[in-house]
Amino acid sequence: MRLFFQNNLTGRKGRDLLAVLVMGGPAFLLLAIFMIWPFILGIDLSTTNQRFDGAQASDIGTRNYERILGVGIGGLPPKPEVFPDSRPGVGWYLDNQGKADFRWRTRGIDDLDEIWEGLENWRGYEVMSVFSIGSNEYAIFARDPLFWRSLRNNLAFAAFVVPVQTALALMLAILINQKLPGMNVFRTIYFSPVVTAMVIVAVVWAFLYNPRFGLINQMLGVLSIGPFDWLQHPASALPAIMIMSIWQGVGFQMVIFLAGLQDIPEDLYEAASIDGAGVVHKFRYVTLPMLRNTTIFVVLTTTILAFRLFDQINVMTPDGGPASSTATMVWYAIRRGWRESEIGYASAISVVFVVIVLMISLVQRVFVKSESALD
Amino acid sequence: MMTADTLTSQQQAQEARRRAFVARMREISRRIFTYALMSFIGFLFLFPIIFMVVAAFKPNDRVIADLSSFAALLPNFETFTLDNVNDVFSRVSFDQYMFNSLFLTLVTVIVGLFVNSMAAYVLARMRWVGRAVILSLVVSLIIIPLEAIAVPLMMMVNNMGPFVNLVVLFILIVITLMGWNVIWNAVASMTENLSRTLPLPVHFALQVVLTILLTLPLTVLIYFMIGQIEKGGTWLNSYHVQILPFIAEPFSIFLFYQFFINIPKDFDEAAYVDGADNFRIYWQIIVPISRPVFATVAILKFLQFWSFYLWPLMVTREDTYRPLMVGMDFFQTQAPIRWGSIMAYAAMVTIPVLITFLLFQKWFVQSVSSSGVKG
Repeated sequence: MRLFFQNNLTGRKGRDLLAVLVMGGPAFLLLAIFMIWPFILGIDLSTTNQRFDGAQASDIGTRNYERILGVGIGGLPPKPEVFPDSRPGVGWYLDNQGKADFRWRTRGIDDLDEIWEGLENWRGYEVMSVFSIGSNEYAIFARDPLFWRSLRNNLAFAAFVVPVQTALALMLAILINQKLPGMNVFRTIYFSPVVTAMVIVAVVWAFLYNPRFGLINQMLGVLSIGPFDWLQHPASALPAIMIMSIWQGVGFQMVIFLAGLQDIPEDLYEAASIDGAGVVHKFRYVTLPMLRNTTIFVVLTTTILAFRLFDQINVMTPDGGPASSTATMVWYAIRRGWRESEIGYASAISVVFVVIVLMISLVQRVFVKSESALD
Repeated sequence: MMTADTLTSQQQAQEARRRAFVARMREISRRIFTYALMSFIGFLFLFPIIFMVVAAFKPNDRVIADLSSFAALLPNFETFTLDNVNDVFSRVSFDQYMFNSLFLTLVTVIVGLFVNSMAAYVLARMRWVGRAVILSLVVSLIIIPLEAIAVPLMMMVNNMGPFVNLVVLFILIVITLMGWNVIWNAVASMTENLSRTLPLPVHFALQVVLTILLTLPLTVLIYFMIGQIEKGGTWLNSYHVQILPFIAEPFSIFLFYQFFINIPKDFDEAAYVDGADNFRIYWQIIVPISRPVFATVAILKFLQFWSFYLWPLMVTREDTYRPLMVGMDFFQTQAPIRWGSIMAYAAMVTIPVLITFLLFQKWFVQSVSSSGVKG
């Protein structure tokens, strides 16, 4: 026993091993307990109907995933010549404005297949949206429309915020990078929203967006634009949150671009000047290529942040906004898992979320690889 | 001939002067335009913050009344009032939230710096079996966002088994003991000059008192944890549930790792050959030359945990453990909704951070720009 310790823990190698365990052990163990284990647990829980309140859970296989991902397009029955006087359980009717509307309520209707052939496959689904090709009417059916709406909102958020925020950040960085006195002051000003916590920003902007008293409508009113309902209208709620998120986050990206700009050697610009390049050409053929890595990094982090969107949503529109126009995947997972305590279902949403985030990271890997292959 | 020549040279000089003047005017007008544009952008970045601070110290009825004019953004010293601030203190336990936020953020950041940098040291500057595997595991954990594991993690911390509890408690005690060691020595070197004038027992007592004071947060945390374990299995509604899962963080380890791996070998080779143990090399050689990366990680983590919202929202049920952000979320929906008070709350949270930012802005900007450098 003594020999064992002497060899293993008092010798150089033994002491090194002890150091690895004592110095690295806490971090690695904590990561295993609080990241890897919940991650595995989440995959495990996603195949159950576990509830937070401790009700007996049972294994339900892939049913959660089927519910989340269940989506399809189906033809709708033709519009009748004479619409029914009252709203039917399933079928076309005329709404108050006299517009033809399709109503879908599968619950409690057993003889669905007798009403219209072809619709019986969509039992348990909801109609997400109706569109027409030619004279035929089609509908997108989904078993959990809110998930798809959340995913769509995340995609819309990323599609707008990522390019706009990246372009703005680059523009601000170029402005700040000019060799003029006082640029530090502007850098400080543009960066100050970044150090303001998102929850605080969201609360302040919720007031600024107020349709009646909000400062933003008042200021736009001076330019005789608006007034808008901002957070109260399905069409403007998500754009409102996008604008605010860009306002809060662009300073961060700007500073990263600024570091990238300052790394570009001055002689590249001088060489370009000698070749007779103007400002536009210098930007196109010197600045942009030299900022390639920085841009990939900024685009990737902004995209992932767009998919992680939660704080603003939950503070400004706790119930997902008008017509769930601001619901996001994380918001939805937290709502199902925490508020409605459906742990199993929420875990399945989280797994889908992780897969999406992983795919984005892989796409970025491919970009970086192709770039290093070019070199 | 002569006169004609002088005339032309005079004309030439005039022409040159005219050109220089035009060029200067163009440069000046370009500058004026640049500054005007940047000031306008600056206004867009600042007006929500200015509005918040101005509204916080205005009588509540003026907040909305002033909105129709620029008075909304102008401080009015005649109507300066602390009513809103007093209202915040009387309606919510703001002081408790503030303490919680400071305590949670500081403990997470400082203990995180210590634990993550040690792990990075072990990964970057020691050779051991399994190093490569652990390193790639840590790096791949970077892409798993908290949002993806929040739901299963909540399930897990609600029902911690006795084994996991003991392991975590053990890790915490190991970290605390190392912290004692470090602080004990640091205090010793700090009070070295004093020790010549002070009698030994007094010096010793001073060392004991300072060490206990500086490690008090960790000791308190252990005390709370033991209490909670005694009460039952759940971690919900406590301080440690908001700290322990976030101490070890892959991205921090990665940032430290990048820095440590680039330190030349000859820095610690001599000490290693002399037989200095690894903790000594880490603490006395690596840490002192790694101040920039410590500042980077500290600032990034500070910003992250100061505005931490999702997790505290999920795991706190009482004011006793709630941080400022969750408190803000509840305060903004608590009747009666007084916008002046909400803005006062927001300003009281933001102003200290803004002042810290202004004081250390060089470090803030530096830390953000070095977070973007990816190896």
